[in-house]
Amino acid sequence: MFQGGLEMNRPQFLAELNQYLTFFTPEVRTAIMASYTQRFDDAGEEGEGGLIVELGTPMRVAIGLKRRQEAGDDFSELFDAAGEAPDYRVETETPESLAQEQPDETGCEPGGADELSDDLAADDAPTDDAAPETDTQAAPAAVQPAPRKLSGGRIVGGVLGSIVVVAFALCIAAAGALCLTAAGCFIMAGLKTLLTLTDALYLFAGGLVLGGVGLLAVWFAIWAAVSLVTKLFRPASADGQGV
Amino acid sequence: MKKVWKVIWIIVIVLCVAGVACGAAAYFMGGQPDALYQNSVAAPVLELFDPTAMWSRLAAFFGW
Repeated sequence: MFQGGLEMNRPQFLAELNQYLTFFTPEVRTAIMASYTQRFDDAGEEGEGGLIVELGTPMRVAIGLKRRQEAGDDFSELFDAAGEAPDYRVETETPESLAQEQPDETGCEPGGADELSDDLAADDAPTDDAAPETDTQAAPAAVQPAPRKLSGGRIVGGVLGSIVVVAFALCIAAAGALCLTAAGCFIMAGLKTLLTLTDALYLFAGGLVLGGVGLLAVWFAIWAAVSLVTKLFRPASADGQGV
Repeated sequence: MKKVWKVIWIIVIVLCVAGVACGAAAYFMGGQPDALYQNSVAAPVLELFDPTAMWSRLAAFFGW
């Protein structure tokens, strides 16, 4: 199975999936990895490719599991009757090395999160005898977005548009500031004329309403300027990537 | 941004409701908005922020 040009096999799939499951507890993570390992075991070597095609990319699997967790799923079906996660060991070796090491494998003890973390830390380090690991390390790196470059024309367009947007936002902000100033003056005048209660209440009413309108106008100007300027430069960075 | 918008909206609504409440209270107490221009403290402020007067000042400033 080709994933963006990279051929993926069982150890790579499981190792990459294990790296994406960091937001789960160690017990659930071990149980999930054991479940998927069992699925690969059931599929066998012949069905391995078809199973990888069916599951999709490890990232997609991890996203689906994350959504299940957010929906309230505790993955209890993965644990045995005793409520313990099955044994699982991160697969990074080739099938031949796994077959040679199998009599000596001790497996991962339930609750051995530290040992599993240590294994992962060791497995993450580049080793000479794990050729697929280089591809595994390259696969996550390929997922990361490449550095983006801006094209000159788009930059000029973005700057000109930003000037217009900022000028428009400044006008709205000035009107809002004027309203806030008027609100302050009205409220101060109301405090000075408390002897005439009705006049003071009218002044307070005008001041409070103007204050609310002014605050809304000022914040709208700030939000509009930031949002529009950001959007002006975002398509520029996306187009510049292909240049 | 969404949280800031929520806070802003709450503050604006509270200010407007308080302002309307003050205006309604003054109205039901028998106050007249026109009487504000006879108030020695309120009259200068009202003249300063009168929309017609502000527009005239802007026009004079820009020479329209």
